[in-house]
Amino acid sequence: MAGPALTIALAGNPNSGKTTIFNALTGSRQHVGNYPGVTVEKKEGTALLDGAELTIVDLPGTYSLTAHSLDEVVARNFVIEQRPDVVVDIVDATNLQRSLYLATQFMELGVPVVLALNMLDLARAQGLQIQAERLGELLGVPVVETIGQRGQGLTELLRQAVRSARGEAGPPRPVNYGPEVEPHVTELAGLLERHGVSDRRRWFAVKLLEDDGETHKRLARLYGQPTLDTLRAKAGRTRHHIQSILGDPTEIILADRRYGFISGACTECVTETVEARYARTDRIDRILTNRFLGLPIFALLMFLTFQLTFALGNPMVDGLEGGIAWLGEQVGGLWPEGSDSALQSLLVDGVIGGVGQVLVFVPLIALLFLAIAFLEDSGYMARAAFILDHLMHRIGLHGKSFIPMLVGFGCTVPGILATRTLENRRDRLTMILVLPLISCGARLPVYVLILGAFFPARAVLGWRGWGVTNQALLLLAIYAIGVLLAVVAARVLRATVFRGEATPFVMELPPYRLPTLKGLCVHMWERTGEYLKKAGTIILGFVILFWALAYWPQLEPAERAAFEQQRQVVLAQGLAPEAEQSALAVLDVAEQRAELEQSYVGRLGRAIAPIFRPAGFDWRISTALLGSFAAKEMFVSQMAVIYAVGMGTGGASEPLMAELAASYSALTGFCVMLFVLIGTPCVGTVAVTVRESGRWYWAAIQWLYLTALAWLVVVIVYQVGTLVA
Amino acid sequence: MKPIPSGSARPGAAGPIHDGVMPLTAAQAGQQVLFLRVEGGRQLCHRLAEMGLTPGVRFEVIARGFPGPFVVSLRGTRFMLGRGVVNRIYVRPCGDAKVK
Repeated sequence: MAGPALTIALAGNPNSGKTTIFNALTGSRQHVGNYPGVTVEKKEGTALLDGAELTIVDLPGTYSLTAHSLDEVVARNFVIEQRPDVVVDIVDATNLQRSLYLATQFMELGVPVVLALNMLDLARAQGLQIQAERLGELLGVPVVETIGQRGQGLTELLRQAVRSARGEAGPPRPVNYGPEVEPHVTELAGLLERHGVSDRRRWFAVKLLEDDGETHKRLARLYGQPTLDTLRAKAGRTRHHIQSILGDPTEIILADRRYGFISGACTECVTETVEARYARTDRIDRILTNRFLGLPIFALLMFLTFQLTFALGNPMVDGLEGGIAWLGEQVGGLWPEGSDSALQSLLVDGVIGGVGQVLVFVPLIALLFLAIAFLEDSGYMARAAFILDHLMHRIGLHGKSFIPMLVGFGCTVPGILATRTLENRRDRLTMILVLPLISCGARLPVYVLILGAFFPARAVLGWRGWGVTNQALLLLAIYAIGVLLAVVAARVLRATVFRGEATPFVMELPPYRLPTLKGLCVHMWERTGEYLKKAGTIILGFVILFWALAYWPQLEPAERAAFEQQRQVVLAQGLAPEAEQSALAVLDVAEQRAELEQSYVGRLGRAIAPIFRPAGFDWRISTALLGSFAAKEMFVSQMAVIYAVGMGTGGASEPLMAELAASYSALTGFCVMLFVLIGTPCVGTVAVTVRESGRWYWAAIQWLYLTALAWLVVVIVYQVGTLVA
Repeated sequence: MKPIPSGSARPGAAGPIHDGVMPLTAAQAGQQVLFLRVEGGRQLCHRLAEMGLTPGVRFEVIARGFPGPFVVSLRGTRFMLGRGVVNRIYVRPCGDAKVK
């Protein structure tokens, strides 16, 4: 095939199997970017058909092309501005009417459209017989049958897309809005033509009748405000006229007519052989969303999610820790014994030690995301939103907001990305601002360290070997405090900055489906990838910065010589080998500590230490807290550096625990946990908040209020705790 | 002519109609109802219409929230309607005809 590469835009409802098809078509030849000017992710890839490359753009999943959500605006702007050669609309065969609503709007845009009738196997299993060819004739667009999960029909889909892109399919037949409306559409289209609008006149005419704000902006930009005013005046009169005849606002009439058109087409080409489409789903729902059983089952599922994550994940974490420690030793061994190379220190202590600390938790986070993907793909997540709606309402949010919170337990960054499903900006910003309070996976290593140091495990509630340890209870308390603070913060925000009634909550409940392994892996990977990206970019950068700040300035030669002299003294004493070793080790630690105190980090830690004095933190904890700003888990590696234990290994935490237990009280330990939970959202969170809110000051507000809150809570807890003790 | 607030009942909508306009909150699980109107802003009305809740459409209440959202079966899809929405939807009970 010759000619320029064709661009195919892939559109469809959420849950239509669009992502599966996109992945099947493009394989690994895809990359992720952003749509110009907005933060919506844009996935693009290439597919090969008969040796020619096709560019495939994955549009955001939407139900419509109005301007109710950012996704919808992005999808339609892409078609209007970037002019793809053809739109392939993935239609869920099990949910035909709802899916075709989006299709009718693409047809109106005047772009060639191909329908992929997807999930046909499921539709058949549910007793639906669809005559694809007849449907295509009725709508005036080619219809290709596909089963995305098995890759069936995809080559034919691409072939048809290419044929349509070359204009071999004829123009789509847009919805006829009926005798009361259609003449006005034609009339407005004529007026648009007189004002120099060259194409998409029918689309613009319909959107003007809908009084669509985005379209007003576009027309004003392209043809000037006076033209828009003329058009709007005409459209306004027509809207009034239509409403007076038909009794409903024009946009409602238009939606009604589209559904009428779809419903007519479906009556002609769909036969339901079994009256049991939702029978299975309803049976499951009767139990899972039961008014008495719903909440307990939800709680049980959440418990299982976390239990499974940790049961399967912890052995992997241990394995990784060992691997990273081994790698550190190997790299360190490249230099001669006792050498003092900056590069060696950078690689072993900085890069391998620091990033390793972050990487060891990837299995936990990946498993949590896998469990979440299962809950989402199976359709349970929507039910959980249903069950929790009542609870969430009390904090001024609705059931859907719970999904970002759940993701936030894994990592705040993808949690904030998950707020995109909230249509209302107030809801979204509220959620973004409180999400860092949901304790993410990266904070866990800090808790583990502190719990291990100050709260030796013992069973507090138990029966015949089954029991709960004090550590588990404290951990639960920390998570609960985070959720509680998030709830309070959300309430306060909704009552002050983001005042306004809760947005009406409308959500589709997909039928229950057994997720596919491939689908689960793709979803898990998308979110885990965000976390890895954070580890590879921001954290690596900060780790190196921190390493440099801790490495320089070095000790004066005189000071170094003093330590060397002491070593010689020890050696000259002729002690027993063991005693000599331990005496030398003490000197090593003392030297490293002196190095750190001398370094920029040590100085910075000392500088901010007075702020934390009322909270019972000394300069060492203050210094390590600086590190937790880069990534929460860096608190652990910073402490390790400060105490000069386990240098160069990923997780030699036991010596560190011993050091901590010797230096601080349990109360201080608990305060550290609280501060890490509440304060200083990490760099990744700040970056994603700036990007997703579109304003840097939201990130600044988030950072400042959380840090101030953390300081306040910790000071109160420490002071009261000290008084009581 | 009365000012038309938002969606209003369309006269002569199909189907056997029993008496009485009622809020959706009064509907029982398993009941078939006819959508009449929603009392809300333009955007809410439009959104509901776009998901298929257009005047005169028939739908079934699958589950009532206690307290909480309603689940309805509309045009072959299940929707969850939050309480804020349910309170503003007015319907008329209708006979045993199947949902279309």
